[in-house]
Amino acid sequence: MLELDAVSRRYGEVVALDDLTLSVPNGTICGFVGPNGAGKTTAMRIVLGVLAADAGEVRWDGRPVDAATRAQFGYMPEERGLYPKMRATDQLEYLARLHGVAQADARAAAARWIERMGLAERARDRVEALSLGNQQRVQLAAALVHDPVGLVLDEPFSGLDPIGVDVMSEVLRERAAKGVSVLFSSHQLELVERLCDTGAIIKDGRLVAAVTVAELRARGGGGAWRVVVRGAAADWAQRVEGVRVVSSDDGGVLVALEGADEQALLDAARAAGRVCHFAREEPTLAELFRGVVAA
Amino acid sequence: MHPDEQRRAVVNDGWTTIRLVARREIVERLRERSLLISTLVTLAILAAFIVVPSAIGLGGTETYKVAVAGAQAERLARAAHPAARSLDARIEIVRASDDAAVRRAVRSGDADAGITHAADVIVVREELDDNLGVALQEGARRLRLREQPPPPLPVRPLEAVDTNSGQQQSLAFVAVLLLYAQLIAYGFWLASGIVEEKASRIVEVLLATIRPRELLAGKIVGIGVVALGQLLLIGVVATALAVATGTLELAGDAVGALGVVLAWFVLGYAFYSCLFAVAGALVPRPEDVQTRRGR
Repeated sequence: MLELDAVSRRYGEVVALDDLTLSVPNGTICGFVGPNGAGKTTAMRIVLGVLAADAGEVRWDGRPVDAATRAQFGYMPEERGLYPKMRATDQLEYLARLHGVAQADARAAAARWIERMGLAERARDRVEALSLGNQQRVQLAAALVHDPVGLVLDEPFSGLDPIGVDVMSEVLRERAAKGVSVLFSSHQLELVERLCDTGAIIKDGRLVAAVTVAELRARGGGGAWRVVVRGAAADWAQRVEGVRVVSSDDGGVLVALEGADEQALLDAARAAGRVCHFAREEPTLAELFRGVVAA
Repeated sequence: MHPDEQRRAVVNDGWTTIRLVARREIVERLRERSLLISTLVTLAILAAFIVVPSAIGLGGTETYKVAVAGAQAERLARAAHPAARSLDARIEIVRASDDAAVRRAVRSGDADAGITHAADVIVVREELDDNLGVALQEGARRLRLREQPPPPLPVRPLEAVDTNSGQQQSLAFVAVLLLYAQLIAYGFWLASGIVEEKASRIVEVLLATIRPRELLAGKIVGIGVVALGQLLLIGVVATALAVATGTLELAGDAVGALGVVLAWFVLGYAFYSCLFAVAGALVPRPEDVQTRRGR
């Protein structure tokens, strides 16, 4: 299990992380979401030891993470990095060997991952000759080639085509099924919700919500409603008693019923304007995200 | 707990990591076409430096001044004319009043060689030129045909023989030039290699895995091995060429000098590589290295 315990970090005056506590149990995928500048990248770099924390501790299986443990992590930094002039398989083999994999195993693993990423024909190409999407696949392979026990991926889906997204999703699920702890950040909340066991939302360096996707689904029964009313004042829903507005945008409002029933909500909506859409909705991570981040 | 049953990563010790980094440097450098080109260019320049003077020397007629005292000595010098002509050389006779005047002329450099009154010895300052020696000995042989077989005239140097000081100087000059140019070039490789790692961001993946000092040590050792190999190749080829064309007659000295150059190279490289590494580490992008180095 990967744990961040009260990790803090500041850059001069700016607080990047403020007492961040988070855990990713073995065999689970945690989606790390938050607005830009919330501290996701800083947290991941601290886990990998690229940055030092000012306070707090990163633990693996209950013990503070050291170089030996980190060698068994896989990391995909936000700024992608590979040797541009080195061939794809050579690069993977080299990185595996740096992580302590024996030569024959490293070579086999490099070939296996290149194949898995659908790059078998490009295996001897220099990385700079590959398209950005393919470089991204090599980058993921680089994080996986030494068979890590923990995976930390910073925006692994950005820049991938739909097929790449599928390959990436499949690989992450498969790794988790083998017991790997996966922590990845993303702005694609639907993807996080589809893929993750837990979601961790951070804002201004603090964890503002940690939810399991199962919990999210269960909450759906509590009664969230999406209502779209044409010609209504923007704040019509806020004036309805017993209703909490979870989020609102051009597409309408998402409200949670707290005391009021849906008929009262519908009456209020009809009174406000022309009702185009009125439906029960599971609160998605995206909704939750907007709710907590806007708060 | 490890997810895959196939193997478990062992953490490399520092030396293994340095060896891996060094090996990558060597393999990737050797694959670059620019290494081959720079080796060939250096060899071409050296070859021109070595071959051209001896080629020019063979082309023209050389004039030797021979100081003579008395009629017998003059006869000997005249007898040397035909032999000198066959060697593309000309002998100019400088009459001197007595043996002391001959020695003065030779010592001051006004004459390349001198023949004393008795015509039984060739006086030179330090060393007798090969062609002139052949011509004078031939002249002496013709004058003394009755003696069977005529013994060659003894050669008497007037000054302590510092044989080959000219050759040693040019050898040292070339060696220092080579040392300087190659140290700068290899230092530049190192600095731009470090900057490349930063610019391509691979450094973040690397530093999540290995220590910065292991990375630096590996790079210095790897580039050092390639550099030493290149210098050795250039040195051996240049020395062989110089000995073969006769520009350098002292195979022993040249090999000794080559050894000293290589020893100084190792020391100089150890020192300058660290300076260049620092320069590289302080610079953000490859295009900035040039200016940083210049300061």
